[in-house]
Amino acid sequence: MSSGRPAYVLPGVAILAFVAFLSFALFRLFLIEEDMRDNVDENMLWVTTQAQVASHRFEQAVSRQALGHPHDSPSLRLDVLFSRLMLMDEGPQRRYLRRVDLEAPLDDVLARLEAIDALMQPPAEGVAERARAIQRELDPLMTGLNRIATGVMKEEWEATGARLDRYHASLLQVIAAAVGILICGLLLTSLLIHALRQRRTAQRDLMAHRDHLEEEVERHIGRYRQTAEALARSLKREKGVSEFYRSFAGMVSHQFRTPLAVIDSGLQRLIRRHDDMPPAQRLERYHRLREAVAQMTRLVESSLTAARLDGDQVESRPAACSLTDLVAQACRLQREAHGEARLQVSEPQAPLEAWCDRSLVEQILANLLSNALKYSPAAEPVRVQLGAEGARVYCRIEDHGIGIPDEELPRLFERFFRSSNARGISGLGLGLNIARHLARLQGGDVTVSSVEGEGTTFTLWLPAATGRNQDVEPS
Amino acid sequence: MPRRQLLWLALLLLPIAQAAASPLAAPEGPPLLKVSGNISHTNKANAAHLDRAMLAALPRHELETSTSVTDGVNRFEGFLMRDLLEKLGAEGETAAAIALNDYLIEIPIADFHDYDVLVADTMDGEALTPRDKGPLWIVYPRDDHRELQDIRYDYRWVWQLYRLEIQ
Repeated sequence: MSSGRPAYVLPGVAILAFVAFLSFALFRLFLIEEDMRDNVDENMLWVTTQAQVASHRFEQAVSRQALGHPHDSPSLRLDVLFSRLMLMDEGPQRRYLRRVDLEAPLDDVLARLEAIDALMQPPAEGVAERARAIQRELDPLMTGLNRIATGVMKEEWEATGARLDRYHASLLQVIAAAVGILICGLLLTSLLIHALRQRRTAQRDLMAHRDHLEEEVERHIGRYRQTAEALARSLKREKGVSEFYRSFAGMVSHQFRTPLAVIDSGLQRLIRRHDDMPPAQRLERYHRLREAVAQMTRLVESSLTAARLDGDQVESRPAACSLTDLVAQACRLQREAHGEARLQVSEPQAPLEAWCDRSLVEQILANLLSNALKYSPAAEPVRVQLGAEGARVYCRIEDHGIGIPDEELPRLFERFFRSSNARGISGLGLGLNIARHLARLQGGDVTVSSVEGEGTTFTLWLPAATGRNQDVEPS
Repeated sequence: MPRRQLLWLALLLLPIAQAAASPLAAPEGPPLLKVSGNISHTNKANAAHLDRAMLAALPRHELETSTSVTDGVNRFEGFLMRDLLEKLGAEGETAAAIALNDYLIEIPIADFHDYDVLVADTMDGEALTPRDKGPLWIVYPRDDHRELQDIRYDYRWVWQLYRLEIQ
């Protein structure tokens, strides 16, 4: 409140001054109006002059009568003169003359008038004699009237001058008050404009502040949203991982039991019939046991790879590699491991260089080749074809096996998905998922086309190494 | 129409015209007021000469008012100017009022209809004389109308009135 008080002092003073100036000006104007209405005095000069004229007309009539003009009537002229002088004897006129010290001449004039009237009353002894007698009284009467006229003129001019002075002073004061009103008005107007401008600025500041706050809140919300999304993502990943481990645990326990049971029963039989068994048969049993162990090893390996992929633990370290060499090696390994001679590799005309991680490609090829051998009859060959298409190189593996139903093709690369016609064949449903995952990690892909009952073709795509720095070999 | 018949008609209408033009009797005493100009009723050489008795026959009116040249409120008696003008069948815009001292003022006739302008022959019960402001004084109801308290009306208060000329 104390800070608001000075803000009202100036407008308050301005308004008070405005009212004061206006009241003063109105008061002054009112006085002038009153003064102008009062116009009694202005008549006096005319009254006196008319009396003088009447006295002259009377003198003229008397003289003419004395000279023998029969039509002139001095008595009518005397009546008129009487009338004029009686008027000067009336209250307002007499008071006026008293005020300006002309009452004595008036009384003298009236006395002369009475004397003249007395001279007119009785029948005169002679017209000429009477005229002379009247003239003796009339001369001082006219002198007195003249004196009164001069005095009245002086008084009226003085009064007019004084009145003009008064008007002048009053009007100057009114003008000064009007200037004061103007200044107060300007001050009030400027204060009003200033206040309006201040209010607008405050409003603008407030709006800016609000906008800023909104931005700030928006920014905070954004940050929280990002954090929440990150949390949701990591929660989802965690959920996926834990889901995977649950399924993995179930699968592993089921898949591990079979080879373990095979190994256990085989070993029991070897122990029990060790001496009865011919060496050739024993050797064959040992091989089967080894196969079971190898299957378990593969199982463990692919499970680990899947787990590592889920935990983003797998890294691709690409370098320029010869796809031809990689495929040849993979085929050799398959032949050595399974004693298969069904793989028919058609060598490309030019060497194919891929930009890839050698160890990851080896895993993919091993998976695709073993799948092709596993899901096709032992009599049918598996064709391996290499080539380049645009900026990519490919390895196409074609079998003549059981094939995959059309409706299942889209789900083929899903984890733990197993085709309906692959029930009798052992497998986890991890291999293809891992293979595609690893290929995409290197900028490549694994695609499939299949006709049920005729065969399946898998293609591994990899980016070509052409144009890349082939000397950069990752450590 | 034959000429003879026209003549007869004119003769029949003549007394009516004469009666309309001159209903005024001749004054018996000395005339107090002479009215000339655009009037229908005359009694002497295109003018109406009215003596005291003839003026006294007009409806009497009283008026109490102050004046600009006397003290206090005065009571005036006389007749209304518009009654006189109506009696004489006056038609015009202005009435020139002439006083014994040759004071001549033209007064708009509208004044006499807007206000009860009196032609007074007595003041405070006493007859006005030529030695005062008589024999007749034009008096405006000054106290009843604020706009009449103005020097532009004061000069129309003609006293020692003895002639009117209607234009």
